[in-house]
Amino acid sequence: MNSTSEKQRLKSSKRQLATVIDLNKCMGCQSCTVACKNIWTQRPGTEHMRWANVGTYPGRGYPRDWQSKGGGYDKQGRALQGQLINIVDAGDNLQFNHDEVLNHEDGQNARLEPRSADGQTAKWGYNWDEDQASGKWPNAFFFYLPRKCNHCSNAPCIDACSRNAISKRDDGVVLIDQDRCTGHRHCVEACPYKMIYFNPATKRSEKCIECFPRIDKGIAPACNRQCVGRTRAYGYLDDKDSQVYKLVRQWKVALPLHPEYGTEPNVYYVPPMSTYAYDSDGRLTDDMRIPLEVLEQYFGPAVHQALATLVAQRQQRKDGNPSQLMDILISKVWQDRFSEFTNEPV
Amino acid sequence: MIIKRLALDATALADGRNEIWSEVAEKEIALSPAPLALTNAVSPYMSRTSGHGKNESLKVRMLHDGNVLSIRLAWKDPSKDDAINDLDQFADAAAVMFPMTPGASAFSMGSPDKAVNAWLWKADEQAPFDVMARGYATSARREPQGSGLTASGHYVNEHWIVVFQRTMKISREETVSMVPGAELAIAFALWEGSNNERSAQKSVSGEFVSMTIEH
Repeated sequence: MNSTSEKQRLKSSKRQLATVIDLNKCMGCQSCTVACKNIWTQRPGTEHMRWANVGTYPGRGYPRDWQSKGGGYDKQGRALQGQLINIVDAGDNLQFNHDEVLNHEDGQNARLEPRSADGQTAKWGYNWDEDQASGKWPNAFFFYLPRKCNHCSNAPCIDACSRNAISKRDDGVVLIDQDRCTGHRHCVEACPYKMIYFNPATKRSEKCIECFPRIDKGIAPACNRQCVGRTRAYGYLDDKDSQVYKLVRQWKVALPLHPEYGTEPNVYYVPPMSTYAYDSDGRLTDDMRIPLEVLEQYFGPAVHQALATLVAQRQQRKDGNPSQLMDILISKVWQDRFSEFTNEPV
Repeated sequence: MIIKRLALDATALADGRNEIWSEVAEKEIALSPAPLALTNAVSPYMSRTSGHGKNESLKVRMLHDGNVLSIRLAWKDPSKDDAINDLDQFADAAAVMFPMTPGASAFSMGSPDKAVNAWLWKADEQAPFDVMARGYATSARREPQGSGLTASGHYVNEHWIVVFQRTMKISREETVSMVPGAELAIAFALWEGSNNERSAQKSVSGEFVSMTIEH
């Protein structure tokens, strides 16, 4: 067996499924987070996991400080070593002291507060910095960023696994074989998005499985389907009829997160256009509230052209002219968003 | 080195703390960090790490009584890592490995045509694993019962004492053969949990060393 070609085989797929998320419409409601958690991570050892999650950015994010924990590849394609995360980074399994507050005589003196897994008052948890803005008044800004496994085309987790337990399906979904995994966590270190979680109960690593039992039946992944803001499109990147293709390939307004990580991720984001900034006299300017250099840190230099296209197409529509791009972004029929993945889950 | 045939009670030997072990000669084996350059093809991430191989020596005692072969490993370890309570914790572990085919390499855990068999004890597991491998990334952990393999570990005075025992004559295919009078090649490995050691990030004794199982 030639191990290098074995890795290439594990990393290759016939097609590639992709999700597009319009950040102009995400309101941080966590419906995607809850949809995922209800289905997949209520088993012992998975309490801390949010395979789908939404954070306030710029911010420390989820898992905590994931953007400074390394992993991925350098410009020459060499592996960059990353760090592990601990259970507090990963959101912990906070519990409220309901019994103390409601059922005891001293309840009047007890304060309702989240407790960490070790019983201590929580100092960090999932979405701990929700809605904490950056910038200075009156130009404070933030945006919500929903995340999940990127099912990367150049998946570092597959490279990192010393047991070859991780592979891509023909549709591009990256899965960890739970029978092969022995919990070494090289994949956790290698993933620059930190979207792989160790399960201390099974002693194996887990991550988003792209709801494959659903997509195998033509049902969209729960995070995409349950999005009440209708921010999401889903389908194959090579399907020219799909909104995914049109937004990513044709209009080029949906961009990968941190493309500099070198992993070719397959969740794409329509960057936030944001509102206009005020000048020092309180007058609206033509500048966007979210500085372009901030967005560039997340979505790379392509964000300039993507935003220019979005602004131009919005103006075109405002002027009373048709715009295919705006029609896609406001499409009201949910079936239009999900290509062939429009079957009902029940 | 000879694996002596001694008429000692195998049940008593199962506990490495038992005084009975003082009747068996001890040999100290030097360990060194496993060379990770060889693992580049199976994990370019792991192969670029360093700092593993914290355990530098291991004390080994071996014997058999014609039915059961016992191996006692003892090493100093100031940190007892016998549970994984957080996502960034690893457990202490020890392994003894044997070639299934002459010429198999211990460093690479065998190759496609030269299998190796290993016994793996992990401080956070109740039972050992009986491992088969044909090169990096191929190892398969099997339940120990089918191999007549048991292991026990005790932490005493900042030392781990681990005893592996296996019935010598067993019917399971793909397990190392142990016959009185024959040769048995052995290699050892330790993982230091507090140093995040796992997979090929370990201390090893080197290539297989041949021993004779006394008749």
